[in-house]
Amino acid sequence: MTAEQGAILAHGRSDGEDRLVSADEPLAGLHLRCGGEPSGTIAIPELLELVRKARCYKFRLSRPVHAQDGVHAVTAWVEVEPEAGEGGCAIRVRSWQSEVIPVDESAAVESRRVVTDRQLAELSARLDADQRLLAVVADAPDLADLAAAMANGLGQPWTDFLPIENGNRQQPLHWRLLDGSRVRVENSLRDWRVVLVPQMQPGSDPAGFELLLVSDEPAPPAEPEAAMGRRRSLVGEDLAPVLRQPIARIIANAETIRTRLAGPLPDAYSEYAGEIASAGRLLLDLLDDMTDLEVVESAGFGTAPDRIDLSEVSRQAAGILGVRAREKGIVLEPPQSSERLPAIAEFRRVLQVLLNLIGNAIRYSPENSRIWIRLENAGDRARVIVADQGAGIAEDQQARVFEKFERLGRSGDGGTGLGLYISRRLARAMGGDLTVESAPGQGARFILEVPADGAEG
Amino acid sequence: MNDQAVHSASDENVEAMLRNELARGDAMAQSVLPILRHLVLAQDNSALGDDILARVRGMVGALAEELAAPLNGNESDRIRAALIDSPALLAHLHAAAFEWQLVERLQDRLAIDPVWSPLLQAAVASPEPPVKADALAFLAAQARWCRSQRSMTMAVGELPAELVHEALLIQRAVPTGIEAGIEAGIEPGIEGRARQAEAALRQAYDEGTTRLALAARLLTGLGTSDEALSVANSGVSLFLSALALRTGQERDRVVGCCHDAQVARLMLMLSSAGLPPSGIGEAVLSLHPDGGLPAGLEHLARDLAAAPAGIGPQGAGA
Repeated sequence: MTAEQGAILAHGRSDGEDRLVSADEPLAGLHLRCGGEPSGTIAIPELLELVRKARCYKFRLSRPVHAQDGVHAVTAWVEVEPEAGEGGCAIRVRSWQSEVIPVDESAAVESRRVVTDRQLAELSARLDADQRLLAVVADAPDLADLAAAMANGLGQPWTDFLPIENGNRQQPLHWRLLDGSRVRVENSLRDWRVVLVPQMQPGSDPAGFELLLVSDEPAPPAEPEAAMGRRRSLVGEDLAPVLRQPIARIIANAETIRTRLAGPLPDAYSEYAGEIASAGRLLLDLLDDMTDLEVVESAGFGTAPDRIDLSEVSRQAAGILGVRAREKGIVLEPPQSSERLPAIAEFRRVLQVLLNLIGNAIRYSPENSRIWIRLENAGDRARVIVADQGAGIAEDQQARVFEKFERLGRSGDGGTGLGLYISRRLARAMGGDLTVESAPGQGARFILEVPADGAEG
Repeated sequence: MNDQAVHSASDENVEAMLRNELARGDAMAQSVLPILRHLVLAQDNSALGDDILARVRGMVGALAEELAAPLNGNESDRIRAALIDSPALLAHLHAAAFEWQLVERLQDRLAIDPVWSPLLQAAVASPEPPVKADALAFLAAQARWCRSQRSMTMAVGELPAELVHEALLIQRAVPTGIEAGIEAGIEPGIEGRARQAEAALRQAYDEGTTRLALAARLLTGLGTSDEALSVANSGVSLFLSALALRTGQERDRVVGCCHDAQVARLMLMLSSAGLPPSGIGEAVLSLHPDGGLPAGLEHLARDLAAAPAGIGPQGAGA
């Protein structure tokens, strides 16, 4: 440990990513024995921390560094100076003391070994005093077959399932001879070692054993399909259920205030409450739309087609929105109940699209106007047309209305900009389409097209 | 309508503000008595004695002045407030003040010199040049520290690296702070000066020249013997450093364990450092002459010593 006054025992240098780019002995040797690679990241933990700190603080640090390489415990006094420019550090070792690590008592070593093996075991089994199987647990995929076989063969000696490599099979062998022996496992490419932990009172024979199967190699990576898994949807499964209830309460309470159920209130406050309620409703709509959006955009999305009557669906949609239409003095003209137009589509989804189309028509039509819902049979296609007397949509905007979050510059009217996008996705998923015909000032005609039911048509 | 709404709301705000203000006043009034009682009862050797408070105040002030000097000197109050808000820094200064109190007490009672302890004398006379050099360097640093403690000051360059970094961050933040932005008197160019000052301090700082680093280096060079764990042999400062090195604890924590109320923790620490019961007894008695040793010390020490794995990172290596 002695050195000349002020002398430096070893020099080293690290780069901007804390790799030990050069080092003298004994620093280099310790780095390697700590598991480092030549020019790899510094493997001596306390030195790595010191270098990182010096790099972060941008000034010189001097501290003792402790390390163990398995045989020796090293204490070194190290100075680290960050170098201008590349971000590396100069490392100077000023003193170096190493002592042999005292060997632990054998009992302590043994108990530590058992603890380690229990942690690392990928199969563990309980044996009785004659080494016959009582119970077995395994979690590695390549041990599943073995575990199943052992579970079926409870009561048999464990050596029936785990043939011992290059050992004679004369049973019973004393457990100490079997402890630590290598075994082969069918369907597993790894080498396995058996650990037998006896359960006994000191001085008497074992009352049973714990059998542990340990391998020095890691388990093979899991099958890719398991890793792929189904992605959990954020809005639909996580957010929507927890958000819906509080938003509903906000709306309900705001409505209570708006309608003055709890007592008289100035008009202005009642109006504020009304705005709170409608903002809450918009939030709920948005939540529903986002949930739908996730569904229609997921890779495995499909519909469940059925034989339906478009006339019936249209009348239902008109009935649902009748109240809202009457509030604006709008007249809805659904198909007559005598009309029929059979089609192949999913009832729920067609209703959803029509509710969206009619809802939009009500929202953007002037008061005291009319909205027509007409049916059209076009051979192998069946169509529902929703026509209004609104402002209409210019040619260049007609494609854009079907885009995600497209509001055509509108705001504050309760729309989310998702409805038409989702509706078109739904229509296409059912083998149909959703299109628009319109001219400014002429109103708009939204056309939902689905496959016709030829058997009936 | 809207005017009215705003009006009533601001009335409520005033009420709420007053309520909060009163609540805060109540809380303060309630905490005055326990603190006052503690301070009045406090003996000279209390963790919150007048001596310690004055010393910590002085050291914070000195650090603030030093950090504010390159800016323009007017910012020291704000820097002082920010320094006090740093728990790590405050703990370090408290430990320094308490260490000095121990140094003075042991000098009075046991004639242990603050600087020139038997261990240091032996090291200076060492035939090994590096040990001799380290010992001389520590000797100078310890003498410097004693002088600055007598004048209740502390220099930024004497702080451990982590705290220097923190102090520099505080210095950097002050001229750009929100508070500073509101004040019209903020002068242009102060930010640039702060940056220059920080760069200069980082350039000049060398942890290896601080007293604590020199103590650790000297002790590391001397190797692991129990000699350094005797207060009478090492002197207070080297004893504390040695105990911290041996147990792997932070030195400030070790200093805290020398308080009268922490005898049990000190004993455990000495025991985990590997001292035999006789050594533990000697160390405890020299730091706490009034309190007798608890019964059963021998058992405790022997049981701990017999534990398979020692306590602390040095347990396996020492």
